[in-house]
Amino acid sequence: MQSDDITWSIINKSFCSFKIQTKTQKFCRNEYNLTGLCARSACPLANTQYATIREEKGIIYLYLRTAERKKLVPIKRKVDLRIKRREEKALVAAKIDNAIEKQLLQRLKDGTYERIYNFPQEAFNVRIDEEEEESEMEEEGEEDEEREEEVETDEDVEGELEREAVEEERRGEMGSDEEDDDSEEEHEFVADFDESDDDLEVSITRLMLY
Amino acid sequence: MPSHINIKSIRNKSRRGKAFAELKREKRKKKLEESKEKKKLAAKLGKDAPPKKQPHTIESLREEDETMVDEEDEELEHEEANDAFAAYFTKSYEPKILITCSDNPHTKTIAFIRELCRIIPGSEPKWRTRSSIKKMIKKATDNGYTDVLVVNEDRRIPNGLLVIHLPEGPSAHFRLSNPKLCKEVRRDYKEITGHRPEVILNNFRTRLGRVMARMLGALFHYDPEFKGRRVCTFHNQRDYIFFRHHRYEFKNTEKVNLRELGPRFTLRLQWLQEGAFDGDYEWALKRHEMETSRRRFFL
Repeated sequence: MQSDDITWSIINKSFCSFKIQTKTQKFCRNEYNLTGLCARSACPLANTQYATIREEKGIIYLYLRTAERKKLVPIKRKVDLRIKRREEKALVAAKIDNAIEKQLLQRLKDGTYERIYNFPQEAFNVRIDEEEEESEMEEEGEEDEEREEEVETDEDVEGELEREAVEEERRGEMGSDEEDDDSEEEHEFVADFDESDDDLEVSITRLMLY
Repeated sequence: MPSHINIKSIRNKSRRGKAFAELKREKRKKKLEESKEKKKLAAKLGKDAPPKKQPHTIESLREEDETMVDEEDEELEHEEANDAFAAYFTKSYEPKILITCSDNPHTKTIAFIRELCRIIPGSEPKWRTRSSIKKMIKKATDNGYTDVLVVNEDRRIPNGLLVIHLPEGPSAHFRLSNPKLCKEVRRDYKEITGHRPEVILNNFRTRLGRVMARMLGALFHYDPEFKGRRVCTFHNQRDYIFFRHHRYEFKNTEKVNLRELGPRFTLRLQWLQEGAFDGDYEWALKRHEMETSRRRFFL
């Protein structure tokens, strides 16, 4: 039997709790062992067909080995599959990304990020309201100019933030490991969300080169 | 028009087939006409048109749990002001977390723990070294840890998560499924910055759900660094708690972009215990008693 081979290879080469090693010989402490020696032919574990004769209180018994675990332990396959299937369906129903976006925007609205994000549109609306209170006459051209200015400044602020973040990361890494891929990381971090645009640019430059 | 029952009683197969096809065509025609009429009506009435019917979902048909609570509930507020996590929500301590695993972990579990440590600020990985959980809890309490996470693995894949709040509990055991490392969502774990993340706890509606949400929320530092733009989400849907980790960027007040950083995994509560890994079970999943209906949820 193949399982016997495997069992014996484990017992012989690595570990068996019944095995006792002496200087000259190996012994076996298993009570059903026929000879008391550790050998392939006498091993009660590595032989599927095995029998021993033992005496107990004056009566002699023949011990025959029966196959272990005739019945396999059932795997709860049906239940497991059901749990898995329901998980998949729940994931679809969850629409997690939408939920996260909604939550983040709600936080933005509630003013959690007050000091960090200052969107041009909001500021613009606020200013419009203020100015309307003062004088209701306003020329469109000026408005547009103002808007553009504000957009620029805000982008600057964000850019600074990102640069700061990158620098911090760099500092963190200098301390720990790998300075080589710093430049790469920086690129990744900055290019983050508009990868597609960058890729386009890269491909265009390549075209120009060839 | 022959009715459905009459068709069944036709004994000639080809005639029966024809009659059935006829019936089907009639039905479809009727349906089309109805929908056309509805559209006409909607166009005619404009805003006053009858509202569209919403399809039923498991969520909309959910069996109401007795313990479902609204956000503003006096009793609940009082209870939450006195529970084990009240100290965290009053910001009286900073969470310090011990992350460990079952004995002899393999590649994936080790990587999973490494990424968890990266995500959760103030967490430390430790080898289990054949220590019993009770002894470990004692030592961790002495060393000032506030929570212990134990990741269990089976067949070299993480399959369980034990969350123990110190010093006095509660502790919860989750079945962990579908663990995806950063690498498996095609990201580098080094992309996770050291900033303290925000936490989103979505859709925990019952009492038990609230406790779970507070427990998971209390693993993270209460004061997120918005500069890092990192957000960790625990989203509960049909008792499965999905964990996701993103970096976000606001485009304007209506639009936010997300970039998943990984890892991701799903949790399912198995039991909740009062004490720190001892004491009574407050709740335990008993399949035969509890999973009687597909529309009954506990979180």
